[in-house]
Amino acid sequence: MKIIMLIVMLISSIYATEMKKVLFYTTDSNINNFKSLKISFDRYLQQFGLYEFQPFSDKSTFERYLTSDNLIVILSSWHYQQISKTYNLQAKLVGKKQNSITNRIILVGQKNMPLKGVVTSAYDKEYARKTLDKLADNADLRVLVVPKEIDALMSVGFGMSNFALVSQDSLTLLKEINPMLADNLTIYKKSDPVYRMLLAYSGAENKKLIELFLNMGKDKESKDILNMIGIDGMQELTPVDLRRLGGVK
Amino acid sequence: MRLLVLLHLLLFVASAQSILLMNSSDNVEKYNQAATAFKENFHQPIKMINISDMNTKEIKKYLYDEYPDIIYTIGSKSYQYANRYLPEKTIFFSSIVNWKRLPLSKNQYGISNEVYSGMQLTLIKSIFPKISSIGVIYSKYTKNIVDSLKMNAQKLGIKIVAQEVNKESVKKKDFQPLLKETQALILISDPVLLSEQEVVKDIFKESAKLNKAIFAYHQLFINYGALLTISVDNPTIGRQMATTITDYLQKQKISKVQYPIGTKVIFNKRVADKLGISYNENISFLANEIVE
Repeated sequence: MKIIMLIVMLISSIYATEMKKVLFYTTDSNINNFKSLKISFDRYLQQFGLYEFQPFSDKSTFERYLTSDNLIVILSSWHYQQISKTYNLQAKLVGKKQNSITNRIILVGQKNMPLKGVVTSAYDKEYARKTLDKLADNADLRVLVVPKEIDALMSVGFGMSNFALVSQDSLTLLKEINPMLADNLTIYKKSDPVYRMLLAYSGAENKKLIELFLNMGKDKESKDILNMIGIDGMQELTPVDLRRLGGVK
Repeated sequence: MRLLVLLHLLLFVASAQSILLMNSSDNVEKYNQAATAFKENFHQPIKMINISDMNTKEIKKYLYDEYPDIIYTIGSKSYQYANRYLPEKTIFFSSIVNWKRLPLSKNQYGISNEVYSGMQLTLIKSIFPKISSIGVIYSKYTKNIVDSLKMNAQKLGIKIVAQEVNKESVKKKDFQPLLKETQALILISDPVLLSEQEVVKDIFKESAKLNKAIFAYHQLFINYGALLTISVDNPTIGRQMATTITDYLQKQKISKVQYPIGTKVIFNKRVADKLGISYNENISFLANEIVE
């Protein structure tokens, strides 16, 4: 019995040391379908090795995990710029959607409204606040975080909030799926292009895993999984992109 | 100068309103989610009380001892106590099913526990663009919901076919014609219909036989075979209330009863595939959770 126990412990310790985690947290949108996300990513990644996807709902918990070495993380470009130096992160890949690696953040509302009141957004609250301060400094706008960008857009469309802070992608999508609701809305402010979410690493570069993510989106299965986090593929960042994101280490 | 600052501070303290968060039961997850989100987003000192283990006498004494200016009540039990003992104070409420039965006075405000039918139908139409007719079973208690559904459905090109029931007629379970006439059924929180659990189970069985989808208002119905559930997002209610009370304190105009802004959408892909129903490929933009 003791021998069996020892073998089990030995196997599990080997397994534990080899299991590579991909940590995920984004300020870009309030993703809360963690169960589906974890199941889908795990199922996909485990075809290629001992990989595990670990999504986080809370920024500070996610950051606590960044202190270990040899990590692979997926995070928003804004968050990366805030913390890359502290945790020695190096960006490698950037998400893309319809062949674009950037997106814009827009402030939308019903037509002819004064710039004040409640702004609904699915972004992380701190990110939404800072973005609003950049886009509409001095305006009396208060952030209310909602679960999805569609909630933010519907709340403005039905007059439950004054404005929505969303990605331009979402408004484009709303125009396709519900033009009547989108027609009532107008863009008040628009940000400069921002990079979509990044894949970064700390310590030694895990080429196999990075290659795996680089290939995601090339078939329907992996594209559907990436869609869950708002992208449809990934590509390598160029030196120009890296400089814009804060320089190559 | 120091005296002036001190005087200002004293005046501020004297004018600051005391706020009490009153939770009907900390054993109910949806109440706790709203309470936690409220605390995280309301930036003023508050007192909190959970009344689940308190008797009437204890609650009364607590309310009179504290005598708060503003009370945020979560769940109907705490609203009733606040309304009974402190009707002269400003009361906010949330997480109460069918708030229309509450005796709201002019110093009482709230957030409804029902998703606005316009939002509900917009989500349904966005996920299932081919949907054009939906059936609904209702009683005299939920006629207002059906009226609102009809009004909003018209704008989206959806026809609502409604069948009224009462305590007697609901037991006859004669919903086949309604199911045959429409593409799907929307299950609303109707007290007459829901009091008959067997009838609800039969509706799910019958609709599965006829290859018809059911849209429900609570995630519990996913286990029964609902294609989609749309419910309120409880943390958003807490955040929305924090914004509302802040606006009230800043003397801004607030609505008497607001609709909840956040939704929780669960899409049952298993049922969609089984029924052969096509859905929008951008489902992850529209749903919080996909059941595979």
